[in-house]
Amino acid sequence: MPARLGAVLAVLTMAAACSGGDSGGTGQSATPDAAGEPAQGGVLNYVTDVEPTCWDLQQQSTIASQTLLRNVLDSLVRLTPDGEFHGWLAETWEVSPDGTTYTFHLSDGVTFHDGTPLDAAAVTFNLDRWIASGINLAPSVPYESATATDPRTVTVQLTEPYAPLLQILSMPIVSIVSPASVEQYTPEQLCAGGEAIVGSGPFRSAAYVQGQSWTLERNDDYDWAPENADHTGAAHLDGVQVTFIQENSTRVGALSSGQAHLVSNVPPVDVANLRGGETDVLTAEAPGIPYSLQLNTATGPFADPAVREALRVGVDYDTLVESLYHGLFPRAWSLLTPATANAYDASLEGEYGHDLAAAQQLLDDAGWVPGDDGIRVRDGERLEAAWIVNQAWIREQRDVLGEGIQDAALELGIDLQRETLDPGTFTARAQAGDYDLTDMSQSRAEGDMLNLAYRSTLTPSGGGVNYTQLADPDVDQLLGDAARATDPAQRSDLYAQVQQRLSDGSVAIPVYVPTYLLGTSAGVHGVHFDAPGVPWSFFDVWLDQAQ
Amino acid sequence: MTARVLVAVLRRAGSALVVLWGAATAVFFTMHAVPGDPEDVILGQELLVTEELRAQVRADFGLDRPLPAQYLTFVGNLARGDLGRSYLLQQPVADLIRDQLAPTLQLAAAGLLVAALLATVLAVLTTGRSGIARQLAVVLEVVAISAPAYWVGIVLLAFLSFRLGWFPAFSDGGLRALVLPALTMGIAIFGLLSQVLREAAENAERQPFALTARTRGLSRLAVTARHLLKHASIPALTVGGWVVGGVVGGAVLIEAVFGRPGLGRLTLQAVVNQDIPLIVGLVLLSALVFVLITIVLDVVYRLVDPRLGTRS
Repeated sequence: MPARLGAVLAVLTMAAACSGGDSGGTGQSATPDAAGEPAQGGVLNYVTDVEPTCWDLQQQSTIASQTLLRNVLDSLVRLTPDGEFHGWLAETWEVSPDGTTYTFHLSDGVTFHDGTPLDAAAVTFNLDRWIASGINLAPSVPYESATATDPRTVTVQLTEPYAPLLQILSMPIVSIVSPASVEQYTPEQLCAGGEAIVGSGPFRSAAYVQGQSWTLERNDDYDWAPENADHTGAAHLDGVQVTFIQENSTRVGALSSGQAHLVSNVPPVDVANLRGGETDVLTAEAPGIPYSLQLNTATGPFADPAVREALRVGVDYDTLVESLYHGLFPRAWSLLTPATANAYDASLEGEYGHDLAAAQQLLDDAGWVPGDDGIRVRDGERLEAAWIVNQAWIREQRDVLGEGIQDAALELGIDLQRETLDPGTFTARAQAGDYDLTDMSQSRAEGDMLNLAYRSTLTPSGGGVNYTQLADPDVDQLLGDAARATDPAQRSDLYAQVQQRLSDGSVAIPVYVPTYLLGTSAGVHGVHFDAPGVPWSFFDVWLDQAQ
Repeated sequence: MTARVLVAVLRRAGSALVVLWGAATAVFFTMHAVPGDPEDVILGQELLVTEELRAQVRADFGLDRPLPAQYLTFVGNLARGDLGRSYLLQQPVADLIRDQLAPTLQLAAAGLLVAALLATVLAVLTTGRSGIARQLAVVLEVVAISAPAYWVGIVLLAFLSFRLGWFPAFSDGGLRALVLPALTMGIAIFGLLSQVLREAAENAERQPFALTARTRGLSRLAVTARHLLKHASIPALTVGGWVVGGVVGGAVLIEAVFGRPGLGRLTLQAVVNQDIPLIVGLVLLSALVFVLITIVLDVVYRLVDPRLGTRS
C-alpha cells in the first residue's frame, strides 16, 4: 500500500514541482554533491536567530523549536519536500480502504537516549499526549484511539477518513519522546529543555545555556535513519553547537569571517555577497499559504468583489517583490505555494497582470469616483480600508513592502491605513472582525492548509486563520471532500478547484513565496531541507577534514 | 544615637518597600489594561485554537478570575517572595532573573570600568585647557553620546572580529568575548561622565584652593588629578548612579548584537510578548537597583566629601 501510494505521489511530484539543485524555479537548492566520502567527526557551528521559548512541543509549539528539535526527536514517517513519504520509526504502514484505520509497523531495536525502548506503547503514549494537548492541529484530527496491537504495531483509529494525517505525523509536532522522561520531569522542566529533552534522534541534547547556546552530541546508537537519508548508522558529526543570535549582521559576519559553519535566515540583501568563494546561500521555498493580503469579504469595501479585483490588478506586485527581495523570493500566484507538493495549482501562474487602467475602470464602474484629495468617494463615503498588521509577523521587510502597496493603492484612489498592532490587540481586532484586510503567510506542507485559512467556520473567532471571513459553501464542500478523499490524485484536483475558486473571487492576493535563506560555508556538506521549508536535522551533514 | 540610626534605617527600608509595591502595582494594572490575553502569547503560532484550549490556558494561569482577585493573589505571592511564572517561558520568574543576572552584572561592571577609565583620562587631560586637544575631546564625547550603542557594537564587530579576528563575534562564556560588549557599553556611557567630570573640575578650578595649590608649585595636571577630580566626582557619581540604573536598558541592544545572555535580552523578550509576570519581576528588580543605588550614593558622597557628614 505505501509503495503504491508512493508511486502515485512520485508521478504527481514530477509533474508538479521539483527543479532539483537549481535555486531558481520552484523547490530548493542543496549543497552540491561533494566529491569523495563523507568525513567523520567535527562539531558543526550553527548560528540561528530565534531561540525557542519552550522545548516541550506538546506545551508550546513554534517553528523555532520544531526546527531545532528535529535533531533530537524522530517521527513515525518522513515527508520530503517533493511530497513523498518515507519509512522512519515506522518502517511500513497501511491505510484501510475506507481511510479510517492506519496501521504502523515500527522499526526494531529503537531506543531512546535514556536507554528505554521505543515500542508501540511509547508511540501510543505520545499520540494520546499530542491529542490531549489541544495544540499542534490536534483539534482538526478525527482521532478516536491509538492501540498497541503488539510491541511493534500501532493502530490509529479515526472516526472518519482524514487524509492529511500522515503529513501531520511527519512533522516535529508529533515526534516521539521518551515516556519515561515525561514521567520523570515536571512540565516546567520539560519546557526548560536541556537534559529533559529525551528522544531517539541522531543527536542528544547535552547542555542548554538560556540566551546563549544549545549543545548537541552524537547518538552513537542511532541506526534508524529515514529510508531516504544519504547514509545509515549514526550521524557523521561529533556534535552540533547551536548559538542564538538575533542580530542579522552578527550572524552574517560570523559566517563570512569563518566563525560559523551555517547561519539561519540570511537577509536577502546579503545573499549576493555571500555567494561565491568561501560561503554560499542555500534556499528553500516554504510550502503552505504564501505571503498574501487577506481581504475581509464580509464587511467594508472589500465585500465588493470588484474592489478586491481592483486591488489585485491595480498594484504592481511583481516590481515590488523583485526590487525588495533581489529576485530571491518568487512572486506568488496561488494561495498555496509551489512547494506545497501534490496540491499546488500551477495553472494560476501569470493569470493576471498589473493593469492600472483596468483597475481604475473597475472602481469607476462600482461607483467609486475620485474625490478632491485623490481618494475615491461613493455616496459621500471615502474608499478607506483598515489594514491590521500583527507585529509578531513582521519579518522579511514586510513593513517596507506594505508601504509600497499602500503607495500604489493611493494611486488607485484607495486609502489603505496600515496599523501595526501587538499580537494581543491584533487578535482582539481580528476576532471582532474589526478590519478590512490583513496580511499573513502560513507554512505547512499540505493542501489541507487551505482548510484552516478559508473554511467558513474557521474565522479568527472560530479559532482558525480565515481572515477573509469567507463563507462559501462550495469551498467548504471541496475542502471537506479533499480531507476525506483517499486517492491522492483526487485530493490534488479538489485543492486545485479550491485555489481556482479563491482566485476567481479575489478573496486574497498572493504576493510572494517566503523562501528560507540558509548561509553555509564551503566546507559543509549534506545539508537538507525538510518539507516545511526549514533545515532538516544535521544527520547527513559532514565537514571537510580541514574544518 | 543607635535608636536614631535604627529609625533612619527603618524609614529607608519602609520607603523602599513602598517604592517597590507602587512599581509592581502600576505595572500590574497597566499591563492588564493593554488589550490581548496571555493565551495569545502562549499559543501564538498555533493555526487552530479551540475555545476549550483558550479557557484551559486561562485557568492554568489563574486568569479566569476577576482582576481584583488576581491582584490580591499577586500581592500575596509577592510578599512571600513568589514572583509567579512567566507566560511565555513557563518558568518561575525568580529563577529566570537569577540565571540571567550574572552575565548582565558582568557586562555592566566591565562597561562601567571602561567608561570610568576613559572619562577620567579624558577629563584629566583636558580640564581647564583650550585648543585642539580639548575640541577633539568634546567632539569625541558628543559622538560617543549620540552614537547608538547598537551601531557602535556593529562597527567594533566588523573591524575587530570579522576583519581582524581578534575577538569572537558571539559569547562563548569566556572573558575574550566580553571585551567588545564592554567596550561598546563603555563608549556609550563615558561621554556623559567625562563632560560632567570636566565641567565640575573646571568649576572647582575657579575656587581659591586650586590657585593655592598651583602657587605651591604643583603642575596643572597634578592639581586636576589630586584635587579637582575629587570635587568633581560628586556630580559624576550622581550621573554614574543614574547610568548604572539604566544599564539593563543599555544591555538590551548590546546583548542582542553580541548574542550574550542576560537581563537585557530577557527584558526585550518579555516586553515584546507582553509577558506580564516577567515584566513585573524585571521592573521590581530595576526599582530595587535604583533604591540601592540611592542608598549607596548617600554613603559614598559622605566618604568623598566629609562636609556632607552628619552634624550630630
